[in-house]
Amino acid sequence: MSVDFPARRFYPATVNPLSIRLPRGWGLATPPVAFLLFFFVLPAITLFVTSFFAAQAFQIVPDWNVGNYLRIFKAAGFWKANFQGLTNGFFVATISVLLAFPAAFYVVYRAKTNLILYMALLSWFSSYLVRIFAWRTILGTNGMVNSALINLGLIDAPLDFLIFSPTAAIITLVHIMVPFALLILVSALQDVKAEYLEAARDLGATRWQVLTRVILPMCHKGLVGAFMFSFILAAGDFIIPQLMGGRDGITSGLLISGQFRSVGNWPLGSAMAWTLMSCLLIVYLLFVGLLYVARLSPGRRYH
Amino acid sequence: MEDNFVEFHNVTKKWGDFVGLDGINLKIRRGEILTLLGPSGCGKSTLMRIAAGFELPTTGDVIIDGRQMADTPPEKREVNMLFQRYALFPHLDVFDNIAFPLRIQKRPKEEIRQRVEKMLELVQLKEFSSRWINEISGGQAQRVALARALIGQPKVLLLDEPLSALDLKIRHHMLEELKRIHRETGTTFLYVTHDQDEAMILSDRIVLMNAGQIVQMGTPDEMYGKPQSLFAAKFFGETNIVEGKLVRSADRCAVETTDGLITVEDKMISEGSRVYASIRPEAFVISNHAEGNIRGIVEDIENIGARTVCRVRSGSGHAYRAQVFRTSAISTPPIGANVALSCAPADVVLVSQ
Repeated sequence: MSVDFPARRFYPATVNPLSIRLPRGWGLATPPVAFLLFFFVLPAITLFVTSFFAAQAFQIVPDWNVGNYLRIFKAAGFWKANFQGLTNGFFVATISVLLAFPAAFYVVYRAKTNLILYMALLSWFSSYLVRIFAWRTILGTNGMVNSALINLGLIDAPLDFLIFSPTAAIITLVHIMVPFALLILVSALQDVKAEYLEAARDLGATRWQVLTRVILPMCHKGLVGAFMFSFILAAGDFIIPQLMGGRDGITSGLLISGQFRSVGNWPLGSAMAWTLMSCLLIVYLLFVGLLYVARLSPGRRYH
Repeated sequence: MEDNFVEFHNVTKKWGDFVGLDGINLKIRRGEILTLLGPSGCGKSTLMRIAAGFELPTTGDVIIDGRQMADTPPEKREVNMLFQRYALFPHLDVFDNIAFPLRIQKRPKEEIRQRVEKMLELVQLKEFSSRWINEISGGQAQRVALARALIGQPKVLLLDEPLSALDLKIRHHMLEELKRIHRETGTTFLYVTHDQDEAMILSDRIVLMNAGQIVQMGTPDEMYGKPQSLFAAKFFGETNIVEGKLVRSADRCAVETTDGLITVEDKMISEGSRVYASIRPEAFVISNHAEGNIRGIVEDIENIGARTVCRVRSGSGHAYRAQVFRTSAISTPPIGANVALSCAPADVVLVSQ
C-alpha cells in the first residue's frame, strides 16, 4: 500500500553519523548468510581460483593460466558427457514438474488432508542408495518390469534399455526428485488462494485459461524453483549415472567427481565444475526466458 | 420493470443432513439493487454462489433472463461477482486486471484499451492504471475489482459483502460510489451483507434470510417499519420487545404487559392471544409527567453523536431503550430521574414469535 511514513530517525543526531547502522533483521539473516558464505561462496571461489592453476605430480602449481578451460573446450568427451548430464537434468526436471504439479494441485485444492503429501515425502525415510538398488531390482534384466512384460507375452526378450542406460538413470532420478518438486509446488500453490481461481472462472476463463493465466504466473517462483532444483541436482548427480547409467550414461558430474576422487587433478575438476555451473546458469536463464515469452511470468504489463 | 429478470426457483442446498437453503423462491427485477441480508450461516452467500455457478443447488434452478442455468458453468454465465477480498490478480497491474475478461474473450487490442479506459473513468482511477495491486489502497482495490466485474457488461453483478474489509469511513463513501455506479450502468445488483445499515442505505428491496429460508422481503422502509416476526424486528436496528396479551375494550385495543397497558392499533388479532410488541427507541417520548404507558427510572444515558439513548428500568424490571434527539429544546433527563415513556399506537408493531 502506498502509505507515506515520515522518515524515521533511529538515533539522535548526536550519535556519531559514521558508525555503521546494521539493516533491520540482520540478527535473523546472519546465520543463513554466514552458512552460505562459508559452505558455498568460499568453496566456490576456491574452486574458481584453483581452476586457473595447473596440476603436477602430487601438487597444484599456481601458475595462472586458462589451460584447463582450453582443454575442456576442445575435449569432445567432456561435452558429450556434459550434454548427457544436461539431458538427464532436462528430462528429470520436466517429468518431475509434470508429475508433481497435478499432485500438488490435488493436495492444495482438492484433498481435505495432507496425507498424499506426507506419503510422497515418506520416500525420504529410506536411504538414497537403497532406493537406487530398489530400482535396479525393478528395472533389471530379470527385474519386475521385464518379467511382467515377458509373462504377459508383450515382449520376447528383456528390454535392455531399462537398466544401465540413460533411461534408467532418468527414471531413478525422477523418483528421487518428485517429492522435492512436489513440496516446492505445494508451498507455491498454497499462496494462490482458491478465490483467485473462482474469480478467473467468474470472469469467463475456462479451466485451461485459469491454469495458464492465473495459476502458473502466480506460482512462477515455485515453478522455477521446482524445475531448477530438480534440473541442477539431476544434471550434477554422479551416483545414479554411475550405478544406473551404464556406458552411455556418463555425465559431466561423473567426470568431475573422477577428477577429484581418482585422477587427482583438482584444477581440471574445478574448471569442469565451473563449466557445468555456467551451463546450469544458462539453462536457468533459458527457462525463465521461456516462461517470460510464454506470458507465464508475473510483473509484466500487457498494455 | 421486468419482474423476474433473475429467478430462484425452489432452490434447495443440502450438505448431507444439513439444509443450507430450504426451497428458496425469489424473483429479482431488472436493474434493481436487491440485498440478501441475514446473520452468518443463513444461506445468503450460498444463494449468491449458486447464482454465480460455484455451487450447484441440490434441487431447483436459477433462471437468468429467461435461461435456465443448471448446466451452465460459471465462465459461461453472464453474471460477475465482486469478491469479499477482491481477488485481484497480483501478477497483473490495474489495467491488466480490468482487461482480464476482455483478453479471455480475445477482443481486439484497441477495443480493450477503450473499454478499460472507460471503466477506469467510471471508478475514478484513471491515473492508477499502471499501479500494481500491492501499490493501491483497500478502497482503490475495491474499485478496481468493481471495474473488472463490470467491464464484461454482466446481466447481474453479485456483490459478496464487498465492504466488510474496509474501515468505516471508506465504507460509507463506497456505498455512495456503488449507488452512483449502479445508476450509471443500470446493472442489476444482487448484494449480500449481514449489516442492516448497508442494506437499508443501498437497497431497492431487502430479502431477510434466516436458517436457509426467506423470513421477509420488502423495501427498506417496510422492513424497518413493518417487521412481520420477532426475528425481523430484532434484526433491523434497535428495538424494544415487550411480551403481552392482547386485550380489547370498547374504545381501544392494547397489549397487557407487566408494565401496564400499551395502546396499539387494532389489527384484528383475536383477543387474549400472546403477542410481542416492538417499539423502536425513537418512537418513545420521555416525559416526567405521570401520564404515559410505562413508568421507570433512568438508569444509564448513552451519547451517540446526534442522539442520546436512555435506558429506563421499569417497575417490573424490564429495561427499555428510549431515544432523545439532541436539540437545545429538549433536555435529557438525569440518571435516576423518574420518567414515563409513551408512544403513539401507530408506532407499536405487533409481531408473532
